[in-house]
Amino acid sequence: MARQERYDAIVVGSGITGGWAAKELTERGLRTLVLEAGRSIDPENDYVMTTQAWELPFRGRRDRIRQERERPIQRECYACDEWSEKFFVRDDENPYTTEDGKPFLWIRSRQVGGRSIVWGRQVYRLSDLDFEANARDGFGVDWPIRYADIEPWYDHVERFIGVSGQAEGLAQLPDSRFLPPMNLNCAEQHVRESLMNHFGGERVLTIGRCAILTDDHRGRRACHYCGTCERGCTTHSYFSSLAATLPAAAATGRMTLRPYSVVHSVIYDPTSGRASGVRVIDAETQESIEFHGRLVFLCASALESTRILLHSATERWPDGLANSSGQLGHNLMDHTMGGGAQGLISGMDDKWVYGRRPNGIYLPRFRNVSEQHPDFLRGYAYQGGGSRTGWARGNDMPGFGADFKHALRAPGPWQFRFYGFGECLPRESNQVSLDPDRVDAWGIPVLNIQCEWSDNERAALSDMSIQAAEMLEAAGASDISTFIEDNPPGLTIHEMGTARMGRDPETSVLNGWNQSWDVPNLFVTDGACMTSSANQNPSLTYMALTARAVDYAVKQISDGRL
Amino acid sequence: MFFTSQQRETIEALSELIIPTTDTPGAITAGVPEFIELIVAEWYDTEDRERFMLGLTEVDERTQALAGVVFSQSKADTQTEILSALETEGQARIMSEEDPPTPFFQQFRGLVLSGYYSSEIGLRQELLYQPIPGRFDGCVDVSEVTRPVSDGN
Repeated sequence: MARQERYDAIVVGSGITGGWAAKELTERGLRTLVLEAGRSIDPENDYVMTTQAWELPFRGRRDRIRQERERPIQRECYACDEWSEKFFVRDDENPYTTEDGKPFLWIRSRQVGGRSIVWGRQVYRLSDLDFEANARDGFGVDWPIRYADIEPWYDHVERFIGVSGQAEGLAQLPDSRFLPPMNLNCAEQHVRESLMNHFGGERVLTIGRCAILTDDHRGRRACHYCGTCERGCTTHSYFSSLAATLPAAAATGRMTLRPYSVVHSVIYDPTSGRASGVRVIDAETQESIEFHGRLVFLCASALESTRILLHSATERWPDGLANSSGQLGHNLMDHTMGGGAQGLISGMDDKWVYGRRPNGIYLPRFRNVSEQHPDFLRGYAYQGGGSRTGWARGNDMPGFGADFKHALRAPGPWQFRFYGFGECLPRESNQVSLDPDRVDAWGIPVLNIQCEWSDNERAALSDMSIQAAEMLEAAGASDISTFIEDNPPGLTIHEMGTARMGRDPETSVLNGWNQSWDVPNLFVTDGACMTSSANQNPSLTYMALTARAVDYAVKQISDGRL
Repeated sequence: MFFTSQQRETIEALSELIIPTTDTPGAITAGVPEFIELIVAEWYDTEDRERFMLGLTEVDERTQALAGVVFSQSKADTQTEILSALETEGQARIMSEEDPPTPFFQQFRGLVLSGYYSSEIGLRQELLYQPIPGRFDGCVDVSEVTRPVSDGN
């Protein structure tokens, strides 16, 4: 039996953008319903930060056979391990389809907090090099915004979440509002200095910019350097919606958070031309329930938000709600990853690190910044870092016995690795649609995903590997080896696009405020909105766009336009 | 139980030979043989399991041929000699063949290493146990950190 409940705003999803929408809406006085498809998470019981390897049945190797049955796709993500697999969906309940030979790995969480519980925590601003990219080379449509439009919202988000990092003053990677940076280790410091000498400031190695606290911040504690954030942090030292934005929303007294609420579709009212609410399947009872609200914010993750719109087709929009442009589902992107090189850094044998830093280095984009590379458009950046090998090098050493055991007590040589992440061009042919033949555990049609890398991405991957080796050489490394991994799209877990923002309702789904051109009280503020991918880790941009969109929507309401 | 008692004795002897008791406990005290049994029985795929079982049988067969007893009953010198021979043969195979399946010695030693360094003894007594380091310093004298820090696994 369908119920009728009315809210000022409905937010679909409780992850990194849903949490921001909830916080900003409730703090502006709106009674807000947050719908989460998965279960509640209780950090006291669900986080496994202090669980030691010896307490797990397979000592951290994972239950291989069960994972192959329940999470054959999710297990491809490093964080879906024996500690943290419960923070990822079961693939048997959440299927999707691809074509043979065109794999796409869709890594997902359904729980209060979403993927913000297991995210990589790296946060980087986009710059006008990124916002102007499509207009410059003609791939995709022009972003409807520029850096100046989003800059105050980056500030706003960073002040709240806490971002540690080092200001470098680079035009292509604007500095955030930083808490103190984590240290570079000795090898990284050496490589930074070598690159400064060799490339004269064109290639700047800096500490990763991450949403992990280096000082106590707004009631959350500074990092204690246990090193494995994805197990959940009981001191809330890394940002997640569960640790920060959802509690802020709850503190207003205006948030209703409903777990086990799988959104089936957005309800469109043809009379008013507005979304009147959403239809939900209760994940525990399979009951169909309707909720009504004045605003609808889709923050369910790029592909889930698009899936909901595709499944909300109406007479007016038979190919998906708010799809006058025909672009809904198209222009899917992810970042490439895995072009790079590694080598050994000699010297500093008497130096080591104390503590486990949950962060690496970042080497911002240097390609196609001032001059055009002949082989590819756009750019890439590296993560990675220096470390000394531990006991695992015993696998590659000769011997056994007491001497072998005692040799493994000392650290091995310093090694250094550059691991590249590259921009993906927006292309209409990379797309998702509803599969007419298959439904998920709640009876909702699943996505068919068609996505492939192009020669442009492959050329950049190749260059990542060559340039990484060149930089290691410049740093005097030995035993340099290059690699180009063959990672399918999706695995970087930066999937984005499929409901892009634009300047023209004929060619884009959302306007410059993340607002549907067709349905003015409908906003999509997760990765679906992205017009191009840039090469930076995208979550910070999603958060800033969400806060900006809420500010706009609420002003529209005050002005009587919504 | 997956292994026979003789197989279990061979596994115990091999494990302790690779990570013996010294100033810290060795593989047997750390529960490595039980870990190996779990992995071979419930984690390995058929191919890895068959390769492991063949290799294990061969250890006892070679000891029988050389010394007239099974591996666990043989003298320390004999055990070391056989294990060294297996290591050398395995290493030769790794060097000469393109991407061969991991030879038995390397397979077995890998299990001992991952079992030992994920055990409570391995993590708390052999390695420097720092579940909550509390700070990060990227460049300290190695003498301040006398033993490998667990990588969290």
